[in-house]
Amino acid sequence: MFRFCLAIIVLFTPATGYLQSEETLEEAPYLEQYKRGEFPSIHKTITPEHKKGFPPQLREIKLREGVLPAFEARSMRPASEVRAEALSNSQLDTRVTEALGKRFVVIGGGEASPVKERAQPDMLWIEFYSYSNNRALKVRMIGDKVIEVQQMPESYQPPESHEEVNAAAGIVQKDPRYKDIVGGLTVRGIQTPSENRNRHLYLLFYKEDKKSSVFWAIVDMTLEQVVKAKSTRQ
Amino acid sequence: MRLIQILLLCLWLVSIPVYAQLIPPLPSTGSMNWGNWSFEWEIGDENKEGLVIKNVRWNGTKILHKGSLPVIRVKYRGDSSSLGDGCGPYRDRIHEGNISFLPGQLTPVIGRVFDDQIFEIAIFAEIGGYDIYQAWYFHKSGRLEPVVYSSGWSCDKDGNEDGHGLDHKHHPYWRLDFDVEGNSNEVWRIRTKNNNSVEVFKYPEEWNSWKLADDKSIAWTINKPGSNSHVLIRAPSNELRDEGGSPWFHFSSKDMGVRRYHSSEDEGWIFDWDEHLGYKNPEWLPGEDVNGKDIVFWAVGHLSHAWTQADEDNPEWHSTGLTIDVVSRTAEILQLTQMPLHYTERELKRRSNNIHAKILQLIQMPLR
Repeated sequence: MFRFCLAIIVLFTPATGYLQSEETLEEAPYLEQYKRGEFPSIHKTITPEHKKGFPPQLREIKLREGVLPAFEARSMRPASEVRAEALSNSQLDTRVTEALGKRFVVIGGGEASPVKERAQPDMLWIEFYSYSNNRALKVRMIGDKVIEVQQMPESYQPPESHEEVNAAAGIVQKDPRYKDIVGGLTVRGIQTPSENRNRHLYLLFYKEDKKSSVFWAIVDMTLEQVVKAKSTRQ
Repeated sequence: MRLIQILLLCLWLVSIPVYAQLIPPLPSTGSMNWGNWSFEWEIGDENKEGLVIKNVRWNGTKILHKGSLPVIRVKYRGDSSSLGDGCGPYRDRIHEGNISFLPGQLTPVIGRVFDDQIFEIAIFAEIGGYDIYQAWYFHKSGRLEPVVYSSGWSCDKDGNEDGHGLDHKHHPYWRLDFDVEGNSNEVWRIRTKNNNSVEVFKYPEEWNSWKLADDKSIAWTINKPGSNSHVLIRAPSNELRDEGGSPWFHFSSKDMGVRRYHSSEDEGWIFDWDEHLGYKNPEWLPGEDVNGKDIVFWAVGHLSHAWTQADEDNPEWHSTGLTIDVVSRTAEILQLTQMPLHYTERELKRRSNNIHAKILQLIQMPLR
C-alpha cells in the first residue's frame, strides 16, 4: 500500500506543478519580440556620478537647479505630535506597560498608512523596543484607545534612530575608560547582531571632518554597557 | 493644499544658505503628475521601508500599487570563514529616525529635475558609517528607475589589516507591488543565453530566480492576462547573486522573488540577519498560485564595495538599481515622436526607416 501511494505521488507531482518544473504556460503575444531578441532600448538610463556630491549627481544630464514640478501636499499631523500623543495614551494600557517593562525606547510613531484596497479608520501606531524584555512591540490605536498590542518576533530588531544612537553614545561617554577619548566627537551608529540576542549598536565616532572614524564601540543597550571599544586603526 | 505648497516654497527661499546647493523641498507625503506619470509618495515610517511611492499610473492606467525599499542587507568579507564573519551583517532600514538633512535641505524628501525629462524623488539617511541616498527616477519616456546610492564603511580595520576584510556587499531589496492594469497579473522571466537563444517562462507559483552563469541577460515582464501592454523589469548593472561557500556563503542568493499579495506580508523587513526573504513554502511543498493573481515582485540588488585607501580618503558613491519600462502603445508613440536626443545617428536611421509605418499602424488602434 505504501509503495502504491508513493507511486501515485511520484506520478502526479510533476503534473500538478508541486515541484517547480519550468514548463511554460500559454505565452503572452508580446513575448514574440523578446524571443527575437528585440528589447526596447529607447530610454536613456541614468548614469550616477561616483564622485561624492550631496545630493549625488548624474552624468551627461543637466540638473535644472531649483526647479520643482507642481505637487500636492497631503496634510498629516506632525509625527512628533502624534508620537507624543500615542506614547502618553499607550501608557494608560496595562497590556502595553506590562510588555514594555521599565526600560524601553520609542522607535517611531505616527499616523498609519492605509492598507491596499481596504478602508481604514484613522489609526495611530507607535513602536517600542523594550530593553527590559528584549523585544520590539508595536501598538495600534484609534483615538486614545489601544486596539492592538503586537509583540514582534524575537528575531526582529528594529532599526536604530539618531535618538537611540545618541543614548548609546551617552553610555560610552559615561564609561570612565572612554569618556576622555570620545568627548567632543560626533557619533553615528547602526544596529548590529549579537550572540546573546541583546540589542547591540555599533558606534563610530568622528572628528568634525567626518571622513573616517577615529573610535568605535559596541554598546549593549539591554545591559547599558560598553561591550567593546577601540581606536580606529588608520 | 496650495497654501502649504506656497508656504514651503517661501520658507525655502528665505532660509536657504547662499553656499548650499538649491534643494527644493517636498513634503513627507504628497502627490504629483510628471509627464504621463502620476504618483503619490510618503516616508514608509511604520514599516521602516524608506521612500515609498504609491498608486503609480502611466497615462491614467495603474502600474504599481506600492514600491518600497524594506531593507538593504550588508555583509562584510571579514576573514571569510563563515556566514556571520566580519562586521554586521547589517539590515539597513530607512525611517524617520535615521533620515538626515543635507546642507540646504529643509524637508526630508528631495525633488530634482534633470533636462526637463527626468524627475528624481529621494531621501538621504545616515546609517552607521554609511551615507545612503534612496531615489526613484521617473522618465517622461515611460521608464521608472529605483536606485540606491551608498558610501562609507561601518567597520574597522582591526583584524582586517590588509583592508580586504572591509570589502562588503550591499543588497537592496525592493518590494514592488505591481498592479499592471489591475491586480490580476502574470509574471514572465526572459533569459537570453550567451548563444543568443531566448527562453521565456511564466511563473505558475511563488518562485525565486537569479541570473545564471551562462545567461547574457535576464529580464522580467508583468502584464494583465491577455493584454499586450506590460512592464519590463531589468537590472543591467546588477552583479551576480552570492554563491555558496567562502566568502559570501549564499548571503543574498536570489535576484528576484514573486509572491502572492497578502496584506499581512506588507510589514517591512521582519527577517533575521541571516534570512533573505521568506513568504514562500519550502521547495518540496506547493507554493501559492501567482498566475493571474495579485502579486508582489521582490527585486534584489547586489553591489560590491571593495575597500581602497583612495576611497577611504575621498569616499565615492556606489550605486545599483533597476529599470522598469512601461511598454504600451501610448508609451511607444510618445517615444517614437519624441526622438530622444541620445540616439546615435545609426539608431536614428534604423528607427526612421520603420517609424512611418509603425505610427500608421499604431494610430489605427484605439489608444489606452
